[in-house]
Amino acid sequence: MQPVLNVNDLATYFFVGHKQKTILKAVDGISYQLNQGEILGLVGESGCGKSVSALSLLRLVQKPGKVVRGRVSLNGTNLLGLPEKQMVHIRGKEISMIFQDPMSSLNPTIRSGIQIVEAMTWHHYVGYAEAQQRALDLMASVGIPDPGQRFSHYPFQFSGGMRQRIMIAMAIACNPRVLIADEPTTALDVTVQMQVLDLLCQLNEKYGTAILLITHDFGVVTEICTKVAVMYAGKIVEKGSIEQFWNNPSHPYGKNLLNSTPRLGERHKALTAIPGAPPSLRNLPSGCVFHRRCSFAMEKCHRIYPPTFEIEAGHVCACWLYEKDSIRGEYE
Amino acid sequence: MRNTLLEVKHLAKYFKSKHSIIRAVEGISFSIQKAETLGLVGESGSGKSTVAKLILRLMAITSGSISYDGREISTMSQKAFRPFRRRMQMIPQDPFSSLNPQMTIGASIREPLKIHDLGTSSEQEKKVQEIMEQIGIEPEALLSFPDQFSGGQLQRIGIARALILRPEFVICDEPVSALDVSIQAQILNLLKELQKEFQLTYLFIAHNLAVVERISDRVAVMYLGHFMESADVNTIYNHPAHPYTRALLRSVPQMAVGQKNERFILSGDIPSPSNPPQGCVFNTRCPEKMDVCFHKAPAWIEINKDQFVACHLVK
Repeated sequence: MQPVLNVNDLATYFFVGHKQKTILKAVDGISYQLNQGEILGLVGESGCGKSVSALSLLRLVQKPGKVVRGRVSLNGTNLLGLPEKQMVHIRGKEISMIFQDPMSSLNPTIRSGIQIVEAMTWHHYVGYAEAQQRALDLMASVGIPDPGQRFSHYPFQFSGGMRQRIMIAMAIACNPRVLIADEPTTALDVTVQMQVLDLLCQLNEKYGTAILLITHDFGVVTEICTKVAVMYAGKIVEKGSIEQFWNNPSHPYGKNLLNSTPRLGERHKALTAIPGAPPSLRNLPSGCVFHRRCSFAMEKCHRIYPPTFEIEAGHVCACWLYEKDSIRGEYE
Repeated sequence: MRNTLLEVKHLAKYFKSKHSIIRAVEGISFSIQKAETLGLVGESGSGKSTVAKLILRLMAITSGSISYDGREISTMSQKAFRPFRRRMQMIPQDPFSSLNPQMTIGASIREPLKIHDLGTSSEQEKKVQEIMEQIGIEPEALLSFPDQFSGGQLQRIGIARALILRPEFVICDEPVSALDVSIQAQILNLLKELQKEFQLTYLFIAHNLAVVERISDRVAVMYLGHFMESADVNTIYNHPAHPYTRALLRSVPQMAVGQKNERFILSGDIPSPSNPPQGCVFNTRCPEKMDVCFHKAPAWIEINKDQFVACHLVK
């Protein structure tokens, strides 16, 4: 089966400073596939390039940032090669995005129902009258009570959780094949977070929508994702199915991140902190980007960035520790 | 008899405007013993931070009483309160916006000593260096400015500022919620070490239940200005009596792969405090609501030793 979304060696750099000579490698050669019906969790700490990688897929990276190489195929079409005129018909229709902060992403001066309608009429998905009816249905299906009345309310009249639902209704209005959700529940309370996660899950089950879920919370990942990719300093350091990662987290960073997440009922278990802080993009370490914080760092790690080694079928990890045990190493 | 440091009784805070009264805190009572941590949890808008501000007298209370180390502090004059202020400090949620961007880190950490006029200039300098070492900030940071630091480092600086006066009581208002998990673990471990070393008493406000479980001895659950339940940490997490406590706990993602229980969803949002529901404030969302919940507010009763609950389900 051909994946719906195939990202191959995507790299986005920012050119800043005097004469744009400083290059910040925000995303540096990441690859992943997303099949229909899958939910991929892209996990990492702030500043590791998760959001920039998502914006790169939609070609929304603005200057001084630039996608410098790679391929993003959506059903076989390379999005990075399309002229902008065609791209606007794909964005929001074939692939759409739920942003982190719904208050600043919704237009405060337009009634929320109209904003959902706009998504459909712009793409000529349906006619206006039908779009209006569909917007009401969508609002009901994402769990907004009394959509008939709420249709004409402005964003400020909704609570945070309700605004996030409006965003979701907008994003799924044209039945996209791929939905990117950038930290959709980070600003929400746990009770409301569970409501929104459940909603994403229902969408995925009902329409087979493939979801790329960006988050820093492993709780969210284990709740709904089927696959996981761990990002650190612009690179994917480990990826696999959620079961593979859970049972056998392999990259020292992925492992540490998992162990530093507090869980309920583990009051007396020590919380492992990762020493130091994520590196600045201005001053990336040589070799493996994680070696300064890694307790397994070897001499080699200081010099050469490791290729990805396959630990088991579909579970890969970019770490020299697995050089010998791997089924096969792909040298890049 | 245990050593009670802080005792709050029937505390209330209303914000009055022309058209409405917002009942931010409505008649809550609790006490904190010396060297223990009380975790305060609840959804945003439940009034947690208002409680912190009332205790520190950053806001005037509407009614009730707050006694600290046996003295009533809520009615005392500003001048009389001053020595108490030194003994109670706060670690802010967002360390960046609570530091002056134009002041060096050294000057920011030293400022509390200047305000309270403690020691000579060289003594103050020595104290700053001492605390920086304890908290884990490099000495080179002294002359740097806040924008040169990462979130985790800034939170350490926030902690240093709070602890330089050697307080007994520290209010931590969501101290780790803005941080990445790897850094969050560092700060939580640091707070625990500091508590042991200096016999600190914490009021720890957070919405992450797993974090609260790790650091607290007792936990109070707040909803729309009211306390729903309070008990020691094991009771709250293993035998919660209030439907809201149960709902909060079941809403935390399970962090398990494979066999999963059915997802629990507490529907609806927290109502507006300017127009709270009649009867029990949780009746709009409660999965176990009864007729009585709509016209009578439940009393705050002790059902087991040290376990208080406000719910009609428990008798």
